[in-house]
Amino acid sequence: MTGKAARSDAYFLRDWASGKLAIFAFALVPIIPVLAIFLAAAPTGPAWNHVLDTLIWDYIFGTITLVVGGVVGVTLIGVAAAWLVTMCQIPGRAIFEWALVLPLAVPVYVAGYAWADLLAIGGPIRDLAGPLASLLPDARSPETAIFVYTTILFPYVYIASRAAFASQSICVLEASRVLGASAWGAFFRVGLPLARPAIVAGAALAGLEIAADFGLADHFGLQTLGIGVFRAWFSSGDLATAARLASLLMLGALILLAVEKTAQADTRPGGTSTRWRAISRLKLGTLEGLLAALFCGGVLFISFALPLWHLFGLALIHGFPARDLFNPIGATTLLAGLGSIGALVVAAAAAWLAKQGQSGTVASQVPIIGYAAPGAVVALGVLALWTLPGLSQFVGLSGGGAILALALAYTTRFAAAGQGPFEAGLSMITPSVSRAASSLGAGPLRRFFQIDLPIAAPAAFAAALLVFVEAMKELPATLILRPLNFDTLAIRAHAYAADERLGAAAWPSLLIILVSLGPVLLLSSRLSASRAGS
Amino acid sequence: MIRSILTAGISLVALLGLAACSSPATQSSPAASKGELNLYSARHYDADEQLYALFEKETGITLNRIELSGDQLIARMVAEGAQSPADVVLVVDAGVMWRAKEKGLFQPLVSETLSKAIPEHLREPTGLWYGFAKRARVIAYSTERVKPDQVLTYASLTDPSFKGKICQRASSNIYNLSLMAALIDHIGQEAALNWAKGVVGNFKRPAQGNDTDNLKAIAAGECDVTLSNHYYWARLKGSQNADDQAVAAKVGLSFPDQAGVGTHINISGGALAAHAPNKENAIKFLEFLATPEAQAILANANNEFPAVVGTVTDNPVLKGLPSFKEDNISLTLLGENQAKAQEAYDKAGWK
Repeated sequence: MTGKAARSDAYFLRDWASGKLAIFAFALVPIIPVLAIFLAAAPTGPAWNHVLDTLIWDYIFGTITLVVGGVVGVTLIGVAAAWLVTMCQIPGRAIFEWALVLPLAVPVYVAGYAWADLLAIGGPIRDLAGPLASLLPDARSPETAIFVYTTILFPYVYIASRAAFASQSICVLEASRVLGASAWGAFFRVGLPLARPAIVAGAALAGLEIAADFGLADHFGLQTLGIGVFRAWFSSGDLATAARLASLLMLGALILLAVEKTAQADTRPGGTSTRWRAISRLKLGTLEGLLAALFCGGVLFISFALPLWHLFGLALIHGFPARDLFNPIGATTLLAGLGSIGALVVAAAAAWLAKQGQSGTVASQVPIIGYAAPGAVVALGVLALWTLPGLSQFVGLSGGGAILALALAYTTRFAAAGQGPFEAGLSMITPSVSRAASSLGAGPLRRFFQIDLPIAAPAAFAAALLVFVEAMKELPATLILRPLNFDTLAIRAHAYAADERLGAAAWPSLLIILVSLGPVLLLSSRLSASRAGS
Repeated sequence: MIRSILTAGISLVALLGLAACSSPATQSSPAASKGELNLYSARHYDADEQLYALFEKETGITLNRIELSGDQLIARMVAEGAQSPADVVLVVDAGVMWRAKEKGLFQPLVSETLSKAIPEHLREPTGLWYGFAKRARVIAYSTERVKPDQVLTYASLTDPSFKGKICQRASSNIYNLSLMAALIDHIGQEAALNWAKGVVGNFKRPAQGNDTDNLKAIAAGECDVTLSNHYYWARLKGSQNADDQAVAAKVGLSFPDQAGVGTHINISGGALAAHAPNKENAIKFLEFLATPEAQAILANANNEFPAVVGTVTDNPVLKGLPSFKEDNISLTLLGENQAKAQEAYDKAGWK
């Protein structure tokens, strides 16, 4: 063994001793509930054969239909909107650019409540459509669900592809025009292929959200794997069968993730030029420009303004619900806050590990697995842990034990949402900064706290807001694991909607949107400001 | 940059403001020393709050509560096992009561007060659960297109004149399961299956939506007849929303089988949890539910009929409904026949 290797081994050991192990452990937290699910799925439950005989294909087919339909929808709308807003001069462009992110503030199930009512028989849209009403999909059908998923989740693709289009060197696009490509040709043959990895990443996120959805599928009475997990568990009381369905759903989500990673690996950043200059936006004819603006405005109206306006009207007619909403606001804030803290610690650990390379890279991928796990699945995993003989005596599911369980569930689900901004923040710390600090004698932990963290703080703040909003909207895990006296706004909205009282459900729903708007707008403005060369 | 800091600041202030407005789970009670009561409820009606407030005021006991759907409530208590903090369980529908009872989640409560107040068919014989409010599953019909004498019985729904005119919700819904369970007891499995087949044959569309959706569908002219719990209609009738009132005005209610066994009813009920840590308080609460004040609130909360005979309510919508003969079948049978009921629906093709 050479002296150099021995010294590096010694450093390595010291690193571990000085806390890398702890960071490693934090980053691995999200895998725990997921593993627990697979363990709980090992025994055959009494309802499994029934599910296998009669329901499984409905569940699988139902889930795939929604995911495929939704992913196609969000991709078409998201890419089109991003291209128009980034590359073309259209009236109102500056407003559309940030406003098209707004649907992210609306929980999918809240939009579902609104649309089910809007499209109901005797509802306003059917009245308006007159003789054409028979062409509309049923209010609570898979078609309507795909439509709602599209309207709410397209911003994932919009944000990703807008960033991709904006970061493309304009020179490449202009070269293609000089070489004789039309505006459409430049889009389809140059802009689109270059942005493909980003588009796939955004669409995959939307796909994961759809696969994980509980609230809307429940409200519409759809047959999906996520609903199957709930039904097997609650109606049949069969935890093992629920865990098997959950594992199936989890495998599907992991396949989706793998597809996304493959697409990312194809990125060839060398393909574009590194010369930057301000985008000279394509001038459209008057009619074309108006049509483009009409498209963006229409998307915004249908995805955001119309459902919100409808809920607002219902809320006003119904009046403030008799039950106070202050407790739910407090419970939501506390639970989402605790969950965010947990998720941020894990996100920071994973982001830091990702930067270290080698063994860290693998561990840094763990949070995305938790993100791919639907809320019901995570809750099932946490519950499987909590009811382990021995452990159940200590923590239990009441009071503090339940809060802890829920915090673990939120951490598992949303750490990955914070990891992205964290990694972006840490990437601003160039190797030369690290090396300079290192040559001055700072160890990795000290570098993390005294250099990396302060530089990444703004990104960490953005991460915190994102995670908080996600945790606030969370429904299935909260439904299952919450302790006594802890109704969140999402729980209240769900309970009212399930009891066929939309006017009352509108109040907590609108409150969730109100609180989410700030963080979403912040996110939007950060993205707008992030274009290199501007 | 300035804009983003500004937005961040505003959101942060909003969050902190919301957090400051309220602190959950610390509802301090003036007489917390009287102990606590943990309530697991599948009811989630705003007016129940009045009930809880009244109980807290009268007894000084602090009520902690969690609301879950019936099946979730059962699954959660099963998961909690002997560690469960639940004292009292409130559930809607005797079918759900039966599921919980089968899992051993209740313990019998022998209470003279309750045995006296609650009619025999509305409680479990050994005191495992008690019904505190009643709901009827009635036939709702279009007042424009259907004459009341066309819908005098549940059997009338199989009449060929209703072909393509019935809207219904899914058979897995507990209200429909319990109705079928009663029917099986009255007319037997075979005849009940034929009834379901007859109704399905008259469907306008595959079973979908909930009771309110189907009431609205009648008002909109989409179909003529549906089965609904009476309080969904009562809720529309008493609504502040003019559209809802218009729906209620176009829909009539028939309380079927008045010449026969009577209209199918079900209950909102309560039970003593098997591992109740605050058993004394739990008994106090269950007995409180049978008092005239509590009965009046229960009836108003969800437009249900009080279980205790002679309760006076000032609910105008309920007063507007006719008094009716109810099916006195022991509600425990609804649970016992539940599997047979689902089987019959499945065979009849009622999704």
